[in-house]
Amino acid sequence: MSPLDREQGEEDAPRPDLGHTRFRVLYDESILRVYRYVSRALAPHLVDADDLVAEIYLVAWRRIDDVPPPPEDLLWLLGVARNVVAHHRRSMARRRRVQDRLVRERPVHESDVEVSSDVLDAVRHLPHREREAIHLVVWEGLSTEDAAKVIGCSPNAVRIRVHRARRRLSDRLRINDPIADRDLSASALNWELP
Amino acid sequence: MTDLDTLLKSADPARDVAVPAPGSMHAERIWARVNECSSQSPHLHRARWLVVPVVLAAAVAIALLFVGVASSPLGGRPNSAPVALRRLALVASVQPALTLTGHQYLHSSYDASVQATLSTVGSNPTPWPSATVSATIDQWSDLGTVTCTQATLGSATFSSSGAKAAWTSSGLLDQPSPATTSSCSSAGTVASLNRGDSGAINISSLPVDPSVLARELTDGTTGITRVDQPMDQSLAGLDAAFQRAVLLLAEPTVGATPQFWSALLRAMSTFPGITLLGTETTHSGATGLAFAGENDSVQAVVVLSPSTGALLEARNIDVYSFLSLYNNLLTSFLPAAEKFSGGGVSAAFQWLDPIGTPSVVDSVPAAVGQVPLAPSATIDVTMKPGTTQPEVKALLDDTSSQLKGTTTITGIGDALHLELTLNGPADQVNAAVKALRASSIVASVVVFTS
Repeated sequence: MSPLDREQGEEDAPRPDLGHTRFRVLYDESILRVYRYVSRALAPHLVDADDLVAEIYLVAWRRIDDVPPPPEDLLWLLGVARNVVAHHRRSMARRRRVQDRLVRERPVHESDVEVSSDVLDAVRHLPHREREAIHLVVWEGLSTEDAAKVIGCSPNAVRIRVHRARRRLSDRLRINDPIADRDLSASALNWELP
Repeated sequence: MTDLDTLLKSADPARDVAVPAPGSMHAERIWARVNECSSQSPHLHRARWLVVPVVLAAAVAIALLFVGVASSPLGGRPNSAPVALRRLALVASVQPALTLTGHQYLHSSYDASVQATLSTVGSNPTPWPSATVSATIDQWSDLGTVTCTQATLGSATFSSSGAKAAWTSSGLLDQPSPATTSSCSSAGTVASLNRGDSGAINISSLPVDPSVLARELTDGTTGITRVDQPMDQSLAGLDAAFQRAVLLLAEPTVGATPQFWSALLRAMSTFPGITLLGTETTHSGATGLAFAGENDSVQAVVVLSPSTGALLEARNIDVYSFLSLYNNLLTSFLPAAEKFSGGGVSAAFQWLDPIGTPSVVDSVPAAVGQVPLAPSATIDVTMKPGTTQPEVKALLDDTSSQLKGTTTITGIGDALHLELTLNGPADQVNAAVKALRASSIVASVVVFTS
C-alpha cells in the first residue's frame, strides 16, 4: 500500500460496508420508529418525510462509530432525527416568504394526512418545548428519562414540560385531567415549602 | 389512562401514515437513497459543498492579488481558511488574558440586528410575521449565573410590504415601547430548568491543545452546556463544530489564556468545510477576515480581526446569553393590552458586532436592574378563570414587594398561566409562594427548583 493509499484509507475508515453490517440491522430495527417520529414532526405535510429519513440514516452512517449499543441506539437515532427535523424547519422558514406567495394555489399533496382535530390543534398551540415533550412521551411512548436523552435535558425538565402541556391541553379542551391537576412541587421535585 | 391520554392517542399524527415496514419496497427505496449517497467518496461528497466556497475563495485570492485590500500584520496574504486561521492564531497568542473575581462583572457592548418571528400573540396564532430590529446592547455577566442585559431597540423593519402587513395584522407595534429594555436573569440557580444560559462562561478548563479542543468542539463534549447544545441548532449539521467555536467567540467568556484563543483558531483551521470568504467590512465599519461554516441553509459567519484574531462580527447565530433580550424584544413590540399575555417569538442575530473590548466592573448600574439573589424558584401560577390583567398586575406587584431581591417574569404562557422566577432569600421566597397560594385569584401554584 502506497502512502497515498494509506492516507485515503484512513479518511475512508469510518465508512461501513452498508450491505451486511450492523448498520443494516440498525436500519431494519429502527425504520418504523424513526419514520413515525418524522411523520409526527412534519404532519400534516409529509412530502419530505422520505428525504429526511434518508438524511437521518446518512448521518448515522457517517457517525456509525458514535452509535451506542441497543437500546440506546434508538434514542441516539431519535436525537439525530430531532436535529435533522429542526434543521429542515429552519430551512423551510427561510423559504417561507417564497412559499407564502404560492400557498393559495398549493394543491394538497397525496401524502398529506388529515389532522385537523381539536386535540391536534391544541397540541400545535403548545410552546415548542412542551409540544416536543408530548410528542416523545405520549406518542413515541418514551419514558421521561429516555425523552430527556433525546432532547438533551434533565428528566425533571421533561416532567415539567409534560405537566405544563397537560394542564394547557386540559384547559383548552375543557376536560379534567387528574395528572395535570396534580401539584408537582413538593414531592416530585424535592422542594420544601413551609 | 386519563381522558386526555385517550384523546392524545387518538390524535396521533402518525396514526394513519403509511409507515415503511422493514424489507418493504418503501423501506428499500429509502435504503437505496442512503446507499446511493453514502457510496460517494467523502471527497466527492464534500466537493459538492465546496463548489461555491472554492469559487469564492478563488475570487478573493484574485481580488487580494490585484486590489491588495488585505493587509495582514504578518506580511502575508492568507489564501485559504486553514492558512488564514493559523496565521491569526499566531497574533491571537499575544492577547492579554481577562480575569474576573467573584464580585465583579464582565461588561460587554454590542451593536446588533435581530431577526424576530412571532408564532403567537397572546394565545392567538399569527401568520408568522417577521421583522428585523436593530439593537444597541450592554451586557453584564458574573462568574456564576447572572447576566444583566440592557438594550435600546430600533423600529421594526420589514423585508416587504407583505411582511409589514402580516406584522400589523397580528396587532404588533412597529415602534418599540419601551425602546430601552433591561433585565437581569439568574437562570442557573434552578438547575433543572436551565442549561446554564446566564453568566460568563469560564473556559479556563478547556484544553489548549488544538487537536483536543477540535475534537471536543466536534463531539460537543466541552462540558459547557451552552456550547455543547447550542440553541435551535442542528447538531447533525456539518458545521456544528464551527458554530460551537463561534459561540465561544461571541459569548461573554472569562478565564481564557492567550494560548486558548490561539488553540481555538488552530482548532477551527482543522474543521472540514470552513471557508475563507475574504476581507469584509462589518456593519460597525471594521475590516477583517470572514470565515463561513459548511451549511446548506443558514450559514454562520465570523469576521475576525486581522491584527488580534478577535471577533469583529458574527452572523446568523443564536446566543444563549441574549435570551432575555429576545424576550424583552417581544414585549416591546406587543401592544399594551397584550403585555401580560405575551406570545411566542423565535429570534436570532442576523449580525452581532462586539463594540470595544470587554471590561471588568464592580457593579451593574442601578438603572439596569437589581442583580438576582440566590436561591431562586421558578413558579407556575394558574389564575382562576375570569381574572383580569389589572388583578394579575396587582398580584405581581404584591409578590415583588415581599422580596428584597427581584421578581422576574421569565415567560408567560397565556392569560391564565404565569411563569415567575423569584429571587431572594429562601424565607422570603417561601413567604411569597405562600401568599400566592392564598390569593383569591390564584387557582394553583406549582414550584420548581433543583
